[in-house]
Amino acid sequence: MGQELSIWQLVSSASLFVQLIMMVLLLASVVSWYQIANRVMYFNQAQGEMNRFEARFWSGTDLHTLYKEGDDKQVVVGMESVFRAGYKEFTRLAKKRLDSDAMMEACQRSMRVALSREEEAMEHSLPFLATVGSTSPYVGLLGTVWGIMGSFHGLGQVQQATLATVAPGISEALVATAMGLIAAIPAVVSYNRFSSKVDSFAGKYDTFSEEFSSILHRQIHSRD
Amino acid sequence: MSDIKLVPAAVTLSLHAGVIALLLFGIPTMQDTKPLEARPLAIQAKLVIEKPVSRPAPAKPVAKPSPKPVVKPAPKPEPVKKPEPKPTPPPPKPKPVPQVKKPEPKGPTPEEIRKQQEQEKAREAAKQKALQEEIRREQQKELADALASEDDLVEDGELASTYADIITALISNNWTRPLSARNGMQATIQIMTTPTGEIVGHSIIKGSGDSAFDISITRAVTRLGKIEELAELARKDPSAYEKNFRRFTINFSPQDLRR
Repeated sequence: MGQELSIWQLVSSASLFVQLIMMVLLLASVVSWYQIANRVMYFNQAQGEMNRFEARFWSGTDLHTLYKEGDDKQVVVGMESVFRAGYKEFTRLAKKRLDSDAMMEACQRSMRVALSREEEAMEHSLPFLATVGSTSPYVGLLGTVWGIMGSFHGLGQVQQATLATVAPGISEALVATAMGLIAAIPAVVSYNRFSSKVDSFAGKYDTFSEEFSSILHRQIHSRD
Repeated sequence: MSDIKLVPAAVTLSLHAGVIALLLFGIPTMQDTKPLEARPLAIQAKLVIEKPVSRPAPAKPVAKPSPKPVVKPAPKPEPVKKPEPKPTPPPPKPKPVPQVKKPEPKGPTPEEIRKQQEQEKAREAAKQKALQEEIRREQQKELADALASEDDLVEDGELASTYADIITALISNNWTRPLSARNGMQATIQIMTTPTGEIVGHSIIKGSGDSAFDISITRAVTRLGKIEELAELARKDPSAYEKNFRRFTINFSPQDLRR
C-alpha cells in the first residue's frame, strides 16, 4: 500500500513541467520499444529468408525458375531482392543484344541499387533509437534539475531545514532521471546491436551480389 | 513501414503496462521495505535530564524589556539628518534663528557622537538578541505544532503515543550521556520486538554522526532488553501491537545540555 502510494505520489505531485518531461520520456520509451520489437522481427525474418534463399540458390536450381518462384511473394526481402534486381536486368538486356561489358555493368548497377535499398530498409528507425539513447538521459536530467530547483526554492522558505523537507522533492525529481535512463538504456543497447547486425547483413548481401555477378559474367561470356 | 504493426505495438504496450503495474502494485521483494514507509509512528523522543523548558521561559521576559529601551532612542537618526539639510539653507538670510540652534547640536558632537555610536551598538546588539530570542521562540512553537500535528496524523495516536512515551522513558532511564553528545544531534533507531515484549533486534538506521552517541543509545536499548508494557499491549490489542510496535523507530536527540 505504501509502495503504491509513494510511486504514484512521486509522479502526481511533481510540477507540471516535470510531468511533461516524464510524459515525453514515457512516449519515447514506448515508441523505441515498438521500434525495437519491429526491428527484431524484421531481422529474424531477413535471417530466415536469407538462409532459405541461399540454400535454394546453391542447390543448383535453374536461375529462371528461382526468379519465377519469387513472383508469387508479396514481400521480397534481403538477398532475394538483390538477386531479383540483377536477374531482371539481365533478362531485360539479354533481349536487346548489348555487348557483354555494358550488360555486366548494368546488372551490377541494378544490384547495387537493390543492395542500398535493402540497407536503407534495415537501417530504418535506427536513427530514432540513437536519438532516444543519447538524448533521453539529458531530458530526464533536465526534469530532475528543474524539480530540485523547485524543492530548494521551497526549502528557502522554511525556517528549519530538515532532510524531510528536501528529500521528497529530490526523490520526486530523480524519478525523471530514472525514466530517462530507463528509456535510454534499451535504446542504446538495441541501437548497437542492430547497427552491427546491419553491417553483417550488408556484408553478406554484398558478397552474394559479387558471387551472383560472377555467375552472370560466366553466362554472358559463355554466350558470346 | 509508416503504419503501425500489430505485434510490435502489442509488445511495447504490454511491456510498459507491465512495468507500470509493477511499480504501482509493488514488486514482491520490495514489500519488505514497506514497513519503513508505513511509519507515521516515528517517535519524537527527547532524552531529558534537566528540563530545558524552564530556561527559555525566563529568557522571554528578559528579551521583552530589552527591545523597549531600544525603541525610544530610535528618533536619534533625525539629529544626524539635520546637519545635512542645514548647509543648503544658509544662503537665504531669514534663517538666523535655525543658525542659533545649530551650535547646540554641533558643540557636543564629538562626545555625543561617540555616545550615540555606543548606544547604537548597544541597540543593535539588543535587537539581535531579541531577534534570536524570537527565532528561538518560533522554533519552539513550530516544534510543538509539529508534534501536535504528528499526533493528529497517527490514527490510534493516543494509544501509540502513550506507549511511545513509556518506551521513550524506559530507554531514557537506561541512557547515560556520552561526553561528546551535543544539542541538535539526532539518531534514529529501529527496534524489532516480539509479542512477549522482548526486543529481538535493533539498529541505528540514521546515525547522529557521533558514534559515541549512537552507541550510547544502542546500549540503552540493549540494557532495556524487554518491554513488559508491550507484552501487555500485545495481549490486550494484538492488532494495534502488530501495526505499531512489531517494528518501530524512535528518534533521539539530547536536549539537556548547556551550550
